Amino acid sequence: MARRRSSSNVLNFLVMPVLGLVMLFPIAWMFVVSLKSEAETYRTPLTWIPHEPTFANYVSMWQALEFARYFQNTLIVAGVTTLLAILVAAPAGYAVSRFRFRGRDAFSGFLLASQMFPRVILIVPYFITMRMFGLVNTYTALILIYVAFAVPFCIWMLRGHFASVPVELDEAAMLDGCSPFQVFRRIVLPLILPGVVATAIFAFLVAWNEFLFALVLTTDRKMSVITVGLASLIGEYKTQWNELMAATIVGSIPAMLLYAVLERYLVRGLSSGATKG
Amino acid sequence: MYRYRRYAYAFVLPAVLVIAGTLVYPMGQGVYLSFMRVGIDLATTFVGFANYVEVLRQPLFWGVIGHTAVFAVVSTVLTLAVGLGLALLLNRPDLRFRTFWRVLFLMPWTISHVAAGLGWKWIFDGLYGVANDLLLRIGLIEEPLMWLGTRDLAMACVIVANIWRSYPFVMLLLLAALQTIPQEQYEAAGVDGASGWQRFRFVTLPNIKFAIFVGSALDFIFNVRQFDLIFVMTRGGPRNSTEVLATLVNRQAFEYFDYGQASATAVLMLLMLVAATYVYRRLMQTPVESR
Repeated sequence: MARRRSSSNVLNFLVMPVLGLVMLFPIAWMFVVSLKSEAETYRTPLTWIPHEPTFANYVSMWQALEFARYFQNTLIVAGVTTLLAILVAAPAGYAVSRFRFRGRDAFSGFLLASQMFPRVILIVPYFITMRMFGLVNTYTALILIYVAFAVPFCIWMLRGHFASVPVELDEAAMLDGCSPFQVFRRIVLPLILPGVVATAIFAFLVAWNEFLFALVLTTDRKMSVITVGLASLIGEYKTQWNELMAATIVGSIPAMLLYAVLERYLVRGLSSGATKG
Repeated sequence: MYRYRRYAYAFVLPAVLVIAGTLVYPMGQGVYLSFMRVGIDLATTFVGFANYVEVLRQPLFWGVIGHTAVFAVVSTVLTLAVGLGLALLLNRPDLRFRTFWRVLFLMPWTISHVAAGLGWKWIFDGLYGVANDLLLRIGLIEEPLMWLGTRDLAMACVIVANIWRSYPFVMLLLLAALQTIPQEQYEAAGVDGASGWQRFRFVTLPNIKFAIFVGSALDFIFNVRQFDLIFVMTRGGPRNSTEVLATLVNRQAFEYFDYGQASATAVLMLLMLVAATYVYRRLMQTPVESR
């Protein structure tokens, strides 16, 4: 018993804290740099704890890096994407979970496959099409593309939630005279609302973190999303890394918080997909 | 529900239209363009397999295949090792504050590849990077290294950053699988006097084989497709040493404006990924079926 107690002490008080420190170090270091003044950022030897910590970067970045604009662009693109993706995916997820129809298996298979093919194959077609329609540097272009990416996995996730509601409920409602559309909208959809919200958050995060297509389809700084805006700063003549790190952290906070809230749900979602053959 | 079958089409129609218009059609267009020469005015001329021949004849292309393979294989193997190790620790019954640790180890996965790339780029900075500072202090190196400016080191750096960004996915997947193992199996093994290693080898491993297969296959695909992290950290440099397929396609299209060649490279990439996935599936067939 004594041996077991000491091995759990090693686990709880040595192994986990040390590993935690190692894995969080890059984020912690970004935070340290973001608290430094410009002079201290570029002074050697480096200071591991800022001598004069300041939140000045967190104030200046909104203007100096045009971060306010990027934040707004990202919020609009990710928000509209989420709304449209759920609107399109929810009925489809319901149909796949409830009805047997011709092409259902092929459709489901395509949903999975679409998550795996290399997306760079789409950059040239998207770019050419968007240019033809004059959609380069518009929210519309990014929203269309992100909806395309989000719809398949939203259907896949929602299908699982719909399947958790017993079909008998639908049948009873139909006997009472509900049409299939009413059953879907009034009865089943409200029951899986938490699942819909979780799915929506994933769609939001995909759009929030995307980079490649935003890079290709925005040439005007004013239309940059956060990822593109920040990445474009490193090529600049004079990058202030302390300010850039502050902006990177602020840009990451929404996603960090949403994932932390969804964590429990994430394990469950992954396990249903990975443990069933 | 049988009676209402025809309604199914009404329910899936919007999704089918969106997917057909924004995924299937553009993919077909991508394949089509790989057989075309595309002018700056976007006029197309059919050139047969000329783009493919041109791509396959470039020494750079074969170098890029090598870089992609090294990046993807090394990343996938090490990510699996880190993810499995942490999943096993997080699954220990004597671990306290389980949720806290799970959320903490999840964090690298929540930030964008761009954010991760920016952070690691500054960590590996040759003049003001903390990597040099740390290694100099503990005496592992004598002179500061130009991490991202040296050919082999740059590849190692992007791989480290990539593993850090992707291990939580594998970890969560394996943790979910570990949690489904019935406790009785361990008790039975204990009655038979199995050692810790034997319990892992004969109880844990067979139970999570399928999750390992799925997790590493998905991770491999993500690694082959990786663009963001490498673009932010090195842009494929120094001297093309970290150029991978995704960054090459981007360069061909938006630096050389050769849309035809870019499409041909992307199609080749798709074919190679399908082939690799197929081979991997065949290799894993036996263990997966006997799970």
